[in-house]
Amino acid sequence: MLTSPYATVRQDASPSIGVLESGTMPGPLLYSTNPFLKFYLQETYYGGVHYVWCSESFDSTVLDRYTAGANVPPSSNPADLLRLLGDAVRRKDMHDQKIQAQKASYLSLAVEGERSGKITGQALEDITYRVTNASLDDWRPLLYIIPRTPLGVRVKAVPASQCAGLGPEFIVTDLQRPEFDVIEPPRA
Amino acid sequence: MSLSLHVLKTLADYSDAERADLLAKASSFFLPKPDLQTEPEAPSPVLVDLMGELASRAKVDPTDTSPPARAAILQVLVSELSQLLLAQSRVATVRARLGDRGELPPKQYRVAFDPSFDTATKRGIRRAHVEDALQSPDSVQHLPEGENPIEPRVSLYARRIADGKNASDPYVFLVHCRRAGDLQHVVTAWRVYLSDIRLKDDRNKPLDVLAAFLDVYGIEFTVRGFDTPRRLIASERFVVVPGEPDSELFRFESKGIAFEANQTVQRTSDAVEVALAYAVNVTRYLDDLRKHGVEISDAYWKSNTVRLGIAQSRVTPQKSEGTTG
Repeated sequence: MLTSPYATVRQDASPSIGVLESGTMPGPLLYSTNPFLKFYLQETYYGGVHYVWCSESFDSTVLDRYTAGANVPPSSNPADLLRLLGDAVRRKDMHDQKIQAQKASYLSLAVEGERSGKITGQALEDITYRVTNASLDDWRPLLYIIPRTPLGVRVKAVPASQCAGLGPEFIVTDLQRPEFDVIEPPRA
Repeated sequence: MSLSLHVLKTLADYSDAERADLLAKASSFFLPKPDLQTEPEAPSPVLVDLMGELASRAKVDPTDTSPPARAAILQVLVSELSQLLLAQSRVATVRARLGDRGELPPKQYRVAFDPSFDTATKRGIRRAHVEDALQSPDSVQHLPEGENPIEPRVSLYARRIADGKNASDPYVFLVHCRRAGDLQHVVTAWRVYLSDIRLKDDRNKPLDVLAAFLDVYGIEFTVRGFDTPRRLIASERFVVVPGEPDSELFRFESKGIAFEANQTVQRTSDAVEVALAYAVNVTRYLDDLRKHGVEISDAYWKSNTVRLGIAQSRVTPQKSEGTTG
């Protein structure tokens, strides 16, 4: 059985929140916002295996304040990420903080992947080109909707020390394409 | 993006591979680590020096952990790392490789016009319209798709035009290109009025639009040696008798009807690989275009290919593609 992710939050963050969360059912869906470029790279070069950082709610700002999910901060809240990334694309801001962090992450993962034999040297070159020459369109945000139950213990709670706030956050390191839906929000 | 002209001093004594590894490791100290179950290890002395130098290059205080400072440092790091991972001398090769697979963003393809495109200009298609569609398509489909091994490559771009005078009579601007590396050769383009065709559903790809267009305006043809008449062939290989001439590979059931035929094909020793082949009954199509207010140049009917109703395949053997307009 999946260990309650709230336990981590309760112990590390605030006992008062923990009491309120005792016995809370995990949500049936997980939500994750990712740039199109990440989706494309994982589909093309990583065998369609997706690494996602996700949340139990789409928008923590509209949750009841006594739920742990309401403590997910904007930097990890799928709805906020959707807005932030969408705004960066609309502003044509290629120097956006999120975009720079994503670029560094994709390149360093590609280096590790090539060293470990997960991807080829040619793929490392291709990824480098696509990341450093990404178009604004490549950064458009996609929302992943992930049914949680079939994933079982593959859903791992992010340690509180690595969470951006007090709310629960999760990762799935080996999500397969049939296991989630992708929604591309209409562009303004 | 800032470009460094000098190797980072901290990394001067390392190989390129070691520099890339160290920069990748350094990036982890600026990024969240969701799968880290224990406290992160302290950075090694060389990483401390490297992060300090990256901060210096970014002109930020190394102790500044604010998001803008982090973003500035990461920008320098990405620039340094990308130069190590992809030498300038390799860029054209990589770009061509990605382009050939249809994996470049639309704006990164170069554009050239095949001679066959002249026929489209006489139907009122302008180069500027094509360039706009190629830069900002609503949808693009690169063929062949998946594991299909055929050699010739085509791309179909679709852009819905529904503004201004077309608001009440929208059409899809469909552009047929043959693709070679990062170069798109424009073969032809079509205005496909949505009121004239029947699309199967709301999730149409450009090839679906072309198929629906040919349901109305296509004429049937056969590949030599194959009896089944077709209106559209996309990404298929036909085995043929080795040594047979390339002429009349396709037989069109035109019965005196004027048509435009477009084929992007490649001949191998024993087969014809068809990236895209179709023919359009232009008498019917142009009649309908006039109903939509499109003016057709008189020069159109003087075009040899159309007047004679003959499509001559220019098929080149092995590793190159031919088209006819």
